[in-house]
Amino acid sequence: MPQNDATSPTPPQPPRSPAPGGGLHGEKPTILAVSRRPGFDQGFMRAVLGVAERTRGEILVLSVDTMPRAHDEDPDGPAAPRPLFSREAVSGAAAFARLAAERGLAFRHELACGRVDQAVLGLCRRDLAVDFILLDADIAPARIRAVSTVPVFSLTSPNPGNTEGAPPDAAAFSIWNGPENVDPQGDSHMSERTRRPVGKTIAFGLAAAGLYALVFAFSEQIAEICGRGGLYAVVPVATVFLFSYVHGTFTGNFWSMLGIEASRKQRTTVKPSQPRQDRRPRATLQA
Amino acid sequence: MHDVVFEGLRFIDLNMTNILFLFAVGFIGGLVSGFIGSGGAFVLTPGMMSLGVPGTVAVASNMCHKFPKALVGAIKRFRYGQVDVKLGLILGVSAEVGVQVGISVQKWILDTWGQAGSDLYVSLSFLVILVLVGGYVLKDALKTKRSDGAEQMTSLAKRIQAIEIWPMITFKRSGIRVSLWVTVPIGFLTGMLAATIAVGGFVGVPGMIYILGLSSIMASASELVIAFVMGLGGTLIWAFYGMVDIRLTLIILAGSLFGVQLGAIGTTYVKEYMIKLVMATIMLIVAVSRGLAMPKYLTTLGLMDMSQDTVNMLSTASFLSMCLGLLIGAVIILAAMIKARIAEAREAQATAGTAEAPAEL
Repeated sequence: MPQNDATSPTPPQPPRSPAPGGGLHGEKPTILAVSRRPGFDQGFMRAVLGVAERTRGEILVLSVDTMPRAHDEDPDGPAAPRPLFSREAVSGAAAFARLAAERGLAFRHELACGRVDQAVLGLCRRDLAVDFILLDADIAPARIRAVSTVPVFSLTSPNPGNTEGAPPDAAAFSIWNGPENVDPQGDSHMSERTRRPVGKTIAFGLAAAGLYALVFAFSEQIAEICGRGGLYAVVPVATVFLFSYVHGTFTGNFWSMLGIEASRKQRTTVKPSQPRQDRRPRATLQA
Repeated sequence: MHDVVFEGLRFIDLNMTNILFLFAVGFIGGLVSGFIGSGGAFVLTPGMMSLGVPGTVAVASNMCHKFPKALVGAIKRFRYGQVDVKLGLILGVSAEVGVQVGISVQKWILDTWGQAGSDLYVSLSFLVILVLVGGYVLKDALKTKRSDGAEQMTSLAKRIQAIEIWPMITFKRSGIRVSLWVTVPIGFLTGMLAATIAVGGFVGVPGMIYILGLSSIMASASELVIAFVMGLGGTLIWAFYGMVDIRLTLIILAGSLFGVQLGAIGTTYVKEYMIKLVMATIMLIVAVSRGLAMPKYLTTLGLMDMSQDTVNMLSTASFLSMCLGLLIGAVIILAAMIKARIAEAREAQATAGTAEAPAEL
């Protein structure tokens, strides 16, 4: 049985408010990563490690055996994870822990059995430090969200909009949750191969080339119109706006097509800090 | 007015060499602008003039390519969460006022001391501002590099933020709350400098970093918004007088839009002090370049005696060193970016390699 009381659901508590400096509870957020498989998928581990590295968070992995066996001596007693499941989960967790240690990340592992939502709820009630939850690919997030008091993210979801609230570092999350943040190996169910915008690049490239050809085919006439001044001042301004859209889109897609895109690491470092508090005295009504 | 343009067009031989030259300078200028927020366009005006374009047409065409370039760069960096649009717009409006005052000052100097006097004023402004500000930025960049690479807010910025004079404005993206009256002088001086040496960002970006307390990334990205506002205003004025040669503008824009996108991408790979380092390097090399140009103006004003050959040689050296400054800036950006990309790829490879290990267990 889970080392938690998975059989007594309690109504969800209101979300906790973030504390300054990273997680909800202090400097380092705790990431609860939930899997119902005994071993851990490579993509799952990479994603969890990636988020933990970016948020400098602590990893708490929960392996849930959803098909536990009944207690041998007391069939009505609490269930326990299957031995094979437990062995594989512990072995997988050891490897996971090594990877986390190499990155200087704190790592804990818990075993549970029964329904995933109840196991998560039980753990969250015991361990109040959990800041957000990452679910493995084959876990439906709806039920977890129904009982969770912290944001829940599904690693399979390509749409960041299906999250509840934002994680402590939403920008970091979007790195692998967004469409462009994918696993180049393409071997994980949580990733998809990078889509290079070849079609868009060609389309906007042709449009930009066409516009340039048009302008230079009629260069004298256009230069003459631009040289008139007065109200004709809008002509060069409108022209460069048009070119900046068409050619700008082309150049942006061009670099993306070549694989030259923003760093996944650094995009997360630009975090707005909290503005200084307004300490001006406020008028108060003394009744 | 339109005669001026066509006078210019008559002189321009838009052969493939000239087109490639403008495209290449546009690309390098765009790269630098996308990275440090400004500073890429100052070579273009003398560059175009060297092709035979009249000064006013060169300035107008340069200005007309700057604002769409800044727009594209600002949008790109906004997507990375680096732009404080509100701050950029507020500074941009005050910079616009600064541009008008700067133009008036320039005009007064031109009327009083002639072209050589005006050029001397521009070169002196270049020298004083670039040496002082560039030197300080370089010192700070090296200091940050020697420490852990993390930027610290200056004590001046903390004191400035503590000043409570109505109206106080909160800039959520930058995480600062300052009085409007603190932002106005920075924007004004940015505009003044833009009107004088065509690169307001050499004051605007350090001003936002050291006076307002922004990070280098935020300051350089928000500078693109200021450049857009100033560039659009300036272009409308020049276009009203029919000074824009759209052909030149579009050729430069073709290169600079490639560059500005790449420069913006580059900011996501490097540590923040790199922005200061690139900016300071360019500023100091340009200061040397302007120093080399000074004897020409001093000789014309009769304040120095130098042979014409020497003056010509120094003028050429001045232009070449200005190009060199831009080129060195671009090389530093590209080298830093390539280095960071290789390191990131190795790290990703290592992560993939170690993550495969559990499967074999």
